[in-house]
Amino acid sequence: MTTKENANEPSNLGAIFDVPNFMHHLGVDAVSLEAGSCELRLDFQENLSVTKGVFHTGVVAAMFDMAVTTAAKNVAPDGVKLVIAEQKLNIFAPAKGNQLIAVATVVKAGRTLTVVEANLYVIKGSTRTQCALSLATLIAE
Amino acid sequence: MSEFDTKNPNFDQVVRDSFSRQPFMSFIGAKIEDLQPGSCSLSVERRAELTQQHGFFHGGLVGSLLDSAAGYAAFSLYPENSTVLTIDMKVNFLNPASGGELFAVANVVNVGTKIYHLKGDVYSLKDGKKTHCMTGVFTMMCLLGMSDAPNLGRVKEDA
Repeated sequence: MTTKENANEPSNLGAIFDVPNFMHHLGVDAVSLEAGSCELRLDFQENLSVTKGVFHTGVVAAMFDMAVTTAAKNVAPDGVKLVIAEQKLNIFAPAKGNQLIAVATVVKAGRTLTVVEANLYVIKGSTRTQCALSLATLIAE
Repeated sequence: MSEFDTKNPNFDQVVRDSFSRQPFMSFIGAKIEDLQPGSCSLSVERRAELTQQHGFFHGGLVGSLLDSAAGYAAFSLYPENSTVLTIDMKVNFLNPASGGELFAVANVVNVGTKIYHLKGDVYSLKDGKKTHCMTGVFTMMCLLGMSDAPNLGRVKEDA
């Protein structure tokens, strides 16, 4: 994991979950926020599915977007705005279950570019199965 | 470490045999460092012919080494009488690949019926220090019933 001396305190990050943004709209919660990593959670709702019991792929992509951005912002210096420049998504199974868990980890935090890896799991009963992975690049504006 | 079971008890010999038949890998001097079911590690030593204008390992070479490592990590799980094809790869360049040696490590993340997903990383070694040069994700296809040798039957031996 990459860390910076001036990494934001996790408590500062709570702020982005308190505003009425898209994450709020979907119902995404932060499970853990650490320097260079974060874990997000989203409970299944019928209005997020396309096939019965399966999360829409757009929701899967949105979870990745939020997770990588949150993890990257966590190691960015104060006042630096990060935006996604590109993101690759590999899906190997339908996201069918009660809950989605996205875990993002910063691979490299550079001055201009930050590379973040993220894994997405679906919880069904007591089993947790990985259903997708993503690799993204964020650029400092 | 990979937690996948191979469908081929003879995987070690099959993978090493396939690797030895790759003219490009032998051209760049790549070696198998480690091979486990679902995991493969390759290395290559620095030669001027493998570098670009700044003296770093050429980016394409770094990607090629990782592609081969990922291909063989997937192939190590395949049943006998099958072969492997890369159908998709995405890499991020993290740092210049300087130093005297490159190590590429790839691991299977998910096993499908035909499609295998992998992750891989490349590190360079300079004065005993490891630098993370590349990370990437790969999709490999398992071609069942197709021999790994020779050349998928597409290239004539005398061509």
